[in-house]
Amino acid sequence: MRNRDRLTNRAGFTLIELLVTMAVSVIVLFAVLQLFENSQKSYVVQEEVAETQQNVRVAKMFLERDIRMAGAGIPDFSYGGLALYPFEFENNVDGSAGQAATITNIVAGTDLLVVRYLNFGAADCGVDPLGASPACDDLSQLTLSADMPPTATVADVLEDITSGTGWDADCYCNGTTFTQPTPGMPFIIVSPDGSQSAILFQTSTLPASDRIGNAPNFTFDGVTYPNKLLNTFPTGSLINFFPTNGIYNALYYIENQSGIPCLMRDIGSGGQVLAEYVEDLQLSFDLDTTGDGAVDTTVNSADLTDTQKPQVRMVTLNLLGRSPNEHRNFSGQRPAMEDHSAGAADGFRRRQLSVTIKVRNLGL
Amino acid sequence: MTRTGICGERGAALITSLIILTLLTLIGIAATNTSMLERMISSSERAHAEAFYAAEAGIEHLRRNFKSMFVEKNAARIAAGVTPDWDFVLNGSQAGVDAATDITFDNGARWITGGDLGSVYLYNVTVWNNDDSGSATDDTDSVIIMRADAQVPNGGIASIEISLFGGATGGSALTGYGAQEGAGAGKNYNSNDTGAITNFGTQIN
Repeated sequence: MRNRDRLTNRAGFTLIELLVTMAVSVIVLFAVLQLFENSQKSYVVQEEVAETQQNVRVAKMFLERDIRMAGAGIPDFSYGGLALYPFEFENNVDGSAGQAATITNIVAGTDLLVVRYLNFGAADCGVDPLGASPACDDLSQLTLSADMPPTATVADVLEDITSGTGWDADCYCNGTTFTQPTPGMPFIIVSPDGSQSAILFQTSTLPASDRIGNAPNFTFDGVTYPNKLLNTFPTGSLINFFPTNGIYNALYYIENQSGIPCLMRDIGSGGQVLAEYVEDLQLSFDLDTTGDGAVDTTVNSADLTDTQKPQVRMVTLNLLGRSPNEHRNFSGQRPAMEDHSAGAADGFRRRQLSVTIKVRNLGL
Repeated sequence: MTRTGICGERGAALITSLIILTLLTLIGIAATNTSMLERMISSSERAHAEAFYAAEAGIEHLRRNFKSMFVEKNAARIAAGVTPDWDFVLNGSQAGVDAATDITFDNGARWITGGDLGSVYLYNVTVWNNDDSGSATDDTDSVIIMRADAQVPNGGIASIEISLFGGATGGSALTGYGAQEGAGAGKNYNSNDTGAITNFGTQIN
C-alpha cells in the first residue's frame, strides 16, 4: 500500500508542473523556430545571390574572351566583296531595326553585339556522310596567272584544272556540298606579298580551261555579295579554299525566354542560352579616331558606324544579373547603366559586373 | 521523486539542444558549401587572369628584345636595300638559343625559358617560322610566330600566340649618295626642312 502510494506519486505531474514545462518549451521552441526561419531565409537569399553571381560571371567569361579576340586575323578584310568588321554594335535596341528586328523576344533597351574574328580551328571540313564528295580543304592551291581586268568574271590560273578532279569536281565542307558546274564555294585570295586578302566565291568552273568563275552578285547563305574584287589582285596571288565556318561570328543579345531574361549567343546555328537571369548588357567603346595610338572618343549611346568599327581599341562591358525570384521585405530596382535608364521598383536582388577589355587585335 | 524528476528534465534538455545543434550545423555546412564553391571558382578565375597577363608579359618581353636586335642583326641587309628577315632568331646563331628544327611550336627556337615575374609567375617564349616554303630557319616573308606559355601558382596556365612581322618600309638603299660641292640654297641639310620655324614673334619671352 505504501509502495503503491509512492508509485502513483512518482508517476504523476501536477497541473502547475505541466503548465510551467509547456510554457518554457513553447518559449524555447519559438526562439529556435525564429532562429531557423531567419537562417533559412538568409540561406535562400544567399543561394539566389550566389546563382546570380555565377550567371554574370559566366556571361562575362564568354563575352570577355570574344571581345578580346575581336578582329584577329581579319584586318581590312572583305567577304564576298563586303567589308567584314570586327564588331557590329546596336545600341539600346527596340526590336524594330537592324539585326535586333530579327529576334522575336529581344529585351528592349539592351545592347546587341556581333564579334568577328578568324576561326583558327576551322581548317577541317569533315567527311561527307554520303561518302560522295571529297573534303574541300584538300583542294590544291591555285596561282593567279595574270592581272584580271575590272570586267573579269573569271580568274585565270597557272595550274591545270582537270575536269572531274579538284576545283572542277564536287566537294564537301561542314554540311554543305558544292556541286559542279556552279559550286559557289568560298575561296581566299592573298596577294603575293601577303598585304592584301579577300574572300570570294567560285561561281562556276569553265569547261576545258584553267580558270575559275567569279561572277558578281552571288548569293550565299541568304546574303547577296558583290563578289567583285578579283581585279585588285596582282599576278601570282594565291587562291585557296576557305572553310565555310572560317570566320567566327558571334551574336550576343539579351532575350526574354518565357519570362526569363537570358544572355544569348548565336554563332551561326541559332541562339543558345549562355546565362539565365541576365537583365542588361551595356557596352561602351573607346575609339582611336586619329590613329595616333591614343583613345580619344567614347561611343556608348549610339550604334557604331562603319568608320568607327575598326577604330575600337577598348570595350567596357557592363552586365547586370538578377535573382530568379523576388524577395520579401526587399526593394530594389534595375539600376541605370550607361544610357539605359533605371527600371521600376521590384523585389529582385541584383549583381552588376563591369570590366574594361583592351582589344588586342585591333590597331596593330 | 526528486531524483526521477530531475533525470527526466536533463534528458529533454539534451535532446532539444542536440536537435538545435544539428539544425544549426546543417545550415552552417550548407552555407559554407556555397561560399567554398564561390571561393574555388573565383580563385581559379584569378589564377587564369594571372596566367594570361604573365603570358602577355612574356610576349612583350621578347618583342621588346627583338625590336633592337632586329635592326642590329639586319643592319647589313637594310643598308643594301634587301628586305630584312628573322633568320637570326631561327637559325641558332645567338648564344643560348637552339635553332628551330621545324615550323611547329614543339620544334621552334625557345628564346626565353623560365622568365619570371616575382619568382612565381613563370613564362616560356618560343618562336618558329610560319609556312614560307617549309624551311624552319630561312625566313623569307619577315613573318614569324611567337608563343608564350605562362604558369602561375594554383595551377593557372595560359598561352598567347602572335604572328610577328618585322620590316623596313618607306626607304630605299643608300647606294648613290654623293656630297654636293659648294654651298647655296638647296645644298645644305636644313634647307630641306619645309616646316622650319621662321617667325619667332609669338614666342614667349
